[in-house]
Amino acid sequence: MVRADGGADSASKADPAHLEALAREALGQAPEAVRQFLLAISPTVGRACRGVMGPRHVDLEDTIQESLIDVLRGLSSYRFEGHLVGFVTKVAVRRALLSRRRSVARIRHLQLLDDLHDELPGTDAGAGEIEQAEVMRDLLRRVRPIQAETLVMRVVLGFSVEEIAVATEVSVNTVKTRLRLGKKTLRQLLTWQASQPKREPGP
Amino acid sequence: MTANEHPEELIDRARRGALSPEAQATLDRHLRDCVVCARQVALAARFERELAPQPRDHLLYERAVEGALARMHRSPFGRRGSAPQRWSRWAAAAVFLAGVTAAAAVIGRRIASRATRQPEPAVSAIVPRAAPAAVKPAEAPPPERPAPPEPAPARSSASVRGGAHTPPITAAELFEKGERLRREGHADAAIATYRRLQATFPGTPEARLSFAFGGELLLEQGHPADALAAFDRHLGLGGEVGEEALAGRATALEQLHRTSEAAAAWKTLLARYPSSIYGERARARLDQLSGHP
Repeated sequence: MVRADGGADSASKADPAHLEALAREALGQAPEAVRQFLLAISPTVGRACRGVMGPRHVDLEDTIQESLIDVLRGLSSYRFEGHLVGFVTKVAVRRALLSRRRSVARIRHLQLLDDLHDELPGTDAGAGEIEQAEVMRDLLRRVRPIQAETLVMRVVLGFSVEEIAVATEVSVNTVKTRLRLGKKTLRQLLTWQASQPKREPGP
Repeated sequence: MTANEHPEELIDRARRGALSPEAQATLDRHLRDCVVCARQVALAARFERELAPQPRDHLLYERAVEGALARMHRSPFGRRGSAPQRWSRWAAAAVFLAGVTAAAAVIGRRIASRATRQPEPAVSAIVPRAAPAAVKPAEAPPPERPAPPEPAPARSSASVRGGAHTPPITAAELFEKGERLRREGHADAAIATYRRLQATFPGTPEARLSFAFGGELLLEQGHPADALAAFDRHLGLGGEVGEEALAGRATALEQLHRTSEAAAAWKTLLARYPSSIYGERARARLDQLSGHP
């Protein structure tokens, strides 16, 4: 399962202490320090945004940029007591969910699905998975934001309950409650979605 | 175990291949009853593949970092003092900057395209004053239920003009047009497009969102009263970007010198979104406003 430390991305390979040192230097606003910090966290931000929006969403790069800015602006309130990668992931997931809610590129999205199908000739199972993943992403944006954030970390990014608790600075029980309520809503949405005529996923 | 008790630990252990036959049977029973966990397990490998590093990722990230730095440089938020501790003082000094709002900064980053801004359009749309909010945003409840299924793309019925059929336009197309105009720096034209969207397709998600986006643009244009009305409409309709709209609302109230209402708005933001990315700004503004009861 994809782990909270970012799996195989370069952010996870970075020594956490080194990443925190880069973050502290970035707080000083020196341009090169800021650049180095952003480069170090960009794989983590990219993963989170890609997880929420899909790997080929037209607004992906834009959202990654916005997430990087959010992280930088939120850094001064980060207490350096938790897990910096978790903090970065939380900020990026939040931004990506917002971007996805704002997106109205339904037609482009449908085109994206068609393109993906074209890339996978004969792989019906793969195409089905893509659709299911898109449906899941589409439905996640309809869940209450705090629950959606928790669900994304759990279902899409593969965080454990404990890792989500650290990243979001709440108790394990709170995470479990959010997951339970979020999954309840998601079940209703999946049931509703299954009853609908086939239509393209929303943005 | 019921369908509402989700065995998260079992799911993790199953992914690691560390389940006993008994535990696997327990998990299988749950997956038969719980479509969400079943979907979670079924899609785990898919998501993992999608999130795996790609060969050209470094190019994407380098572009994103450079883009973010450029946006920060352009944004007044990015031109703050050299030390983060100066942020609150900068925020206090920036009150007079009519176009600078938290909502504008965040939502507007989307607009601030990487391309050079184009000059304002020659024809400036007249922005009518927004109607007063029907619902007080402070009383607008957060969405307790998932958003209702979105309607099929609405199409304008006013597509026949002078006997000639013109292609109908959808709410989504109008919204995208507004977004494009915003990105290109045509604020007045974007606002006019949002107004058309709101009048033609009331009740659609696009119209709902356009109130927040329009509010942000109106703030930038120095129309805090109109912006306030727009943010109120968005909040009253239970809009999706309530966090941004509340921040914009508070900023608009400050610009209107409605200090106590502005303070209440910032407090509402903090209460409703305790971990908001606007939290620091909200607290800084409250500190400043506390001297002006």
